[in-house]
Amino acid sequence: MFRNAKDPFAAEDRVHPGMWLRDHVRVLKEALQFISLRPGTSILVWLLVGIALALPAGLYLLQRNLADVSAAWDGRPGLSIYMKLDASEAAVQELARRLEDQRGVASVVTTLPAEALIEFQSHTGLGDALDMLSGNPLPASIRVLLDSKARTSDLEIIAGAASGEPAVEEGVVEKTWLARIQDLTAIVSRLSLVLAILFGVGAVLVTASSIRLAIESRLEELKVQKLVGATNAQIRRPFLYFGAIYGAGGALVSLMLIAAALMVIESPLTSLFSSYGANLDLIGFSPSFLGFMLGLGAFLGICGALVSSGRRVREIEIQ
Amino acid sequence: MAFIELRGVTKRHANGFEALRDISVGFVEGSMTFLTGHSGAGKSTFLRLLLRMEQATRGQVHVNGVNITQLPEARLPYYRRHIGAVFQDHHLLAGRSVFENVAIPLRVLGMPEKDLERRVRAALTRVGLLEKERLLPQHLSTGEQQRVGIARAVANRPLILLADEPTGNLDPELSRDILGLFEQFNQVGTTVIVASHDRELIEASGRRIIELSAGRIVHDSEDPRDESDAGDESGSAGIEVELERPDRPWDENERRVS
Repeated sequence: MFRNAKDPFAAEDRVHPGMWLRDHVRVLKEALQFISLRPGTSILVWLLVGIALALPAGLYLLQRNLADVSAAWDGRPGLSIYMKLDASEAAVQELARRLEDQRGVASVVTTLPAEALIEFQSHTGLGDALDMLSGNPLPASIRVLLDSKARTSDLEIIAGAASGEPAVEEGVVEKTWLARIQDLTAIVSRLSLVLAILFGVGAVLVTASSIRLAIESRLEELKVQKLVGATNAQIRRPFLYFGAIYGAGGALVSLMLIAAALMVIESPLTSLFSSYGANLDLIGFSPSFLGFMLGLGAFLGICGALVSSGRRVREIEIQ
Repeated sequence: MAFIELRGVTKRHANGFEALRDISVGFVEGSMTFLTGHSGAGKSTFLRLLLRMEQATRGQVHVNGVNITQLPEARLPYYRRHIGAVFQDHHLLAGRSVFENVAIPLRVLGMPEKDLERRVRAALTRVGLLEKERLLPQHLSTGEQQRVGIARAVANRPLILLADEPTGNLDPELSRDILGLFEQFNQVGTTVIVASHDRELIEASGRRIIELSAGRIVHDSEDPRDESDAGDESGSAGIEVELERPDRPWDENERRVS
């Protein structure tokens, strides 16, 4: 009489693909219907999840753009070493040779006093004034450029070593605004990570509490389903769909908020970038980012559903 | 071995109350039995143990050779798919039509829609409510609601049908009708256990009666089932009935009794 004589109550050993798909389609329809019948609650959940996701996602975009700005700038951090006026050419060349051997150094350019004078005259047009001086007042200098992989801290080390040389008057590290952007990018990156964790947990909890309410509102139905042999996975399934829809909807709201925020700040940002001679070309708000956000939202929603439905579903039973 | 067998079963609730005390009893496959006794005698607990809605504190419950007290949680749903349950409070879903209420166990199985519709309509025909399939339960009388509950319990062609005070809210005439339905399902091989305190009604049925009092069996009439009743098709003339469980619910090799 039973299908399996040895184990009459065994789980179905074959999952019928059509049956599985039918059940998912039915459950998805039910979930959409349930959500559409409660527009107030659904919109509130989407807004809450959307706001929770918008801040870390916005910071992520900011960090991406700052990183892009620093990477795209063709200038590299450098160091200028000014020799004493009485430093010999041999001392200059010797120091230049030693600097070339330093780690992270891409190029070393020496400028002797005579070359500096010619350069100065050609750039400033003050040649006549300089002719009036008894001697050349300009020192020899060494310009050190680091390679793209070197960090600003490497410059400090090289400058420190060079400054100890007796023939060196001064070493000047050119810490540009770019270096500050790199520092800012690191701060924003870490801040967005912390906020992503905090607000991600918030999104999960918002979804979880909404789904808990949905479970309680359908308690009688779930009890009957359990009575007639629905597995915990079957009972949980519609709530996982709720979570995915709430989460993905919230992510959509967050994308709309970010888009609106970008429109608001675009003008002042363009002005700021222009003042540094750079063009504003916002990146990151791409189809892959949109897809990632929707996927992340759905994932967080499903996590919320699992949090709220896990134990509750196991406990359900007709009394 | 009996099809259903309780061996030294005791059920003690968390508050210390012993609902069942050292119960040992067996049920033959295809039998129909009434559990009777006063309120609190242990009838409902008896049925809930068979549904594994509660666990025995001591002893074993065997169904078809399987000790269901040791059945893992993951396999419990598959066990329950073989059991139909009817309660005094029918547990019908107010927002779903009669059809959708009866379809719940079949949807759990993932049955194709065409087969599902056929099976639901057969069950509704059997309880005389086919013409009300589109109505909501609240638009039905109490007796009709109980019949919807029975249709839902048998839609999946269970091997065992358990009913807890199914006639509790009904007048004597409706109670006899409901009892008649259980007898018809029993006649096609379903093992039926009905808990009821209506002594007059169950004694008139001539079936086996087990009386419980304070959690103990105080009387067990011999199984009076007439073997010639098995397969009796009286009372269903002209109505197509599908009651036997095939290997798979949507297989076409199902027996039809008309």
